[in-house]
Amino acid sequence: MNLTLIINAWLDEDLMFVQQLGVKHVLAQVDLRQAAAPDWPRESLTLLRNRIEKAAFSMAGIAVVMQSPAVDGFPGSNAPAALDETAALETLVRLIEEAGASGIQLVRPPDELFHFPARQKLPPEKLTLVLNRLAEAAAAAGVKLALPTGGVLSRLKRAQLLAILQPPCLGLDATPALLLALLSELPAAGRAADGSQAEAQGLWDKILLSNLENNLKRGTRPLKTRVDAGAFNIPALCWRLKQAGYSGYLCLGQQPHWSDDSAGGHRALAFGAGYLQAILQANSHFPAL
Amino acid sequence: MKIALLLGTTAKEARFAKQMGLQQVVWSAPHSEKGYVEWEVFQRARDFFQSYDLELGVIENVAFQSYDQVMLGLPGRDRQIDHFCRTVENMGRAGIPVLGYHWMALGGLTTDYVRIRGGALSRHFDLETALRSPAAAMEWRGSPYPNRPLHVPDRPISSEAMWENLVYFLERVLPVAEASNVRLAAHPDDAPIPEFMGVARILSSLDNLKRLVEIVPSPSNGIDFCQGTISEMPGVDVIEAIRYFGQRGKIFFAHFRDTRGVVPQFTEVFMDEGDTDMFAAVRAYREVGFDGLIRADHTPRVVGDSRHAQRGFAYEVGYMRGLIQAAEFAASLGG
Repeated sequence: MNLTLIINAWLDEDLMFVQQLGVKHVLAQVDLRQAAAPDWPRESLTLLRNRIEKAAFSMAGIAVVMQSPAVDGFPGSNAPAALDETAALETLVRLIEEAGASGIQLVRPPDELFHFPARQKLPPEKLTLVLNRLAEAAAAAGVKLALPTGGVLSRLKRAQLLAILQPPCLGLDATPALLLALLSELPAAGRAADGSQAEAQGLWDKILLSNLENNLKRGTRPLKTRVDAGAFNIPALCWRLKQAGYSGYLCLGQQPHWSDDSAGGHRALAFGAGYLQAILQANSHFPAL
Repeated sequence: MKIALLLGTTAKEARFAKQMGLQQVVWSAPHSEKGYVEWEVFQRARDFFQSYDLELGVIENVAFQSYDQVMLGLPGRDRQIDHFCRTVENMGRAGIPVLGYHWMALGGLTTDYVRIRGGALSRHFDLETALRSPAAAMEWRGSPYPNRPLHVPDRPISSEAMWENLVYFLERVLPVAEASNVRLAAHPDDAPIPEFMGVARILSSLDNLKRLVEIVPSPSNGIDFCQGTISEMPGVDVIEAIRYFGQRGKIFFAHFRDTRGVVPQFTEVFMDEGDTDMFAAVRAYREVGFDGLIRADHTPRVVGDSRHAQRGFAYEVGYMRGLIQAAEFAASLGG
């Protein structure tokens, strides 16, 4: 399993910082609003990839966010104040094309793309249109999309989700909730999968990223917490991932912002990275199933 | 075990600790011209931390100049011991149970700061360099007051004399500590070399730490298990050392950090990349039932960090939290 952090790779300081934390895999954060700026250089992602690889990191891909709290160093100026759903979608399509041209193989779209207007899930017909548009662009560009599973996709039945994920270029950025659900249903090694096991296996095979965030249940909306402090037992989850043979990216999910921290949340990032480093180091000592 | 940090009484530092989910803190007592720390000083600090729902569990160090004559066996030592006892009584009255102290007449030693992983800056010790430039090696002086003058020694002090002075101190202070429900936790000498500039450094080996906890038997006589310093001692198995002192209930407080190398040359590194199996260490603390404070000790300095190195400490505390949760999970599996 590869510990991966989402960083602003346009800043030298952030590259140095993550290197000091001992992390080798990064997802470069790309701000969708900045990318929509009229003067966004089309070669930006190629230059970004070069920077990351020159700094001896492995670039897992790009994580597109709607609006980053810290845009220092991002190319492009005169970013629009906000993006409507059409502009957001078309900018993301263009980023997918640019990623493909730059040899970047993984794009994680922003959660908000599936929640226009804000916090309201897309109706099914609109969701289908958005996903078809993205899949078309990704397939043409040779890029895979790790769709966020914490929002509207989490409310779909598994059969529906599997149907949506039929294009090979579409995959999942799995949350702890999804990971635990799938891990409990995967067929035992060497045994044929029946019904629900087959669905679980199908979704498992679609996981491109594992997004380790945590939360506490508060009514209908979960409260995001530090990665160590929520309802999910992260050491247990990582152990089960290891048992299941997961060898992909283990990404530190978005952390709550700490007061007195930088706009880029460096203290929170450092804490989360240290925590996950410890879990992964300890993992090798855990007994096997 | 409870993760803690050494903090000052500022709102920013208290908030920082709370945001990491800490509940305990360590504090250094300020120097007083009176020679002892008044109860009100301890109580004010305790109240300050309590206002942030933090418990003040350890006082780490009183000012060196309040007991330097005791350490050196000079004529003013009895008065300093009386003051030290008063400090201990005041701690007990304020409900603070552990006092960390050291017995380094020349303070801590370091020779350099070097670039480690990713260019982070960290402490390095090289005995050969220290012997070439001994005054410069005395960067720490065992005191929270970096501006006090260096005490380059004007005479040798043998290990016999240092032991005699330590025993003299313990025999008088420990009964007061016991009556005040305070435990004294001695920090090993860092760097752990037996002598420097003719002055003996007696808490610089595992055997001598064992001798310390036995030489004046008392439930208040124990150690600050500075895992980093102990890992700098040649030939020492840190995990076995945790078991030895822990099984005897003599770890009153612990420091958590790691190094690469041992005396005569070592470098402090990030906790996840040193010579010690840190997960095994945490499991050993659990095994011996250590339930005291364990604080993130030094941290390498990372890019863009604050004066109090909060990015570095955030990484270290996160790492410690991960190890402790992982150890709890391993125990639940029967491992």
